[in-house]
Amino acid sequence: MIELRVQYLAQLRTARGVADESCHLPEGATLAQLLTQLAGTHGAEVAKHLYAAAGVVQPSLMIAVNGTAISVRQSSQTLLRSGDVVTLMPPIAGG
Amino acid sequence: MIQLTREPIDTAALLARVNSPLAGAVVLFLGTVRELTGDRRTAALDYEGYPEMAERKLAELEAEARSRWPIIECGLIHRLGHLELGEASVAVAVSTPHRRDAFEAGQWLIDTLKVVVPIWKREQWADGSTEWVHPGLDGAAPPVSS
Repeated sequence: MIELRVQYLAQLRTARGVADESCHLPEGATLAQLLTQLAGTHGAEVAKHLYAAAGVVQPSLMIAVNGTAISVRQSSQTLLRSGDVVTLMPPIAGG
Repeated sequence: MIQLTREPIDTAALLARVNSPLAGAVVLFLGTVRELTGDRRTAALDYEGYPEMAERKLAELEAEARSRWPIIECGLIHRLGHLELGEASVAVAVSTPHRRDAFEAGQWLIDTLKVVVPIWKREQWADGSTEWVHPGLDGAAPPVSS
């Protein structure tokens, strides 16, 4: 098992109800598998930010692992390790 | 120069910072909290960011702008926290030898900042409700592609 932290920003935090939490996954889990787990366990409000449709990650979802941006396309190849911090962000709306 | 701040943006200091005897033009853009969006009234805006990534993206923006235009000085400041109507949330200042480059660089910087810098705003509507802003729904014209 690996243990990592998931941070939620902006409307993802509102949807999830917490700013961050720890998460457990099997060894060798990928970022895509983390998203699947989160969408499956935290209800529709969170899931809609992560998935546009079944099996289709929201293309506008922004993800960082340990502060480095990871594209949605890379999520199934990105291996996670214990101690990683994964930050999940909605589409940017600043300025 | 890039900065994230929770304090009101000091535009006089920013202008002094980018001015230069080498500059024939200084352009300052301020993004300000607007009251009306369609038929809805804003009471205030709250800005939240992912600071370490936002600072990195602002620095990358400045570097790219400097590679595209003959910028003498550049200042990008984004404010975070609670803002009232009329307050400035973002400032972009550039100085260049000639004005066309200052206008173009300034426009590119704010248009691109709004797409790549991880900052979000939350509307406090006058009716008491709150809503995170979704990009593309703020009534702005789409950015000019370059």
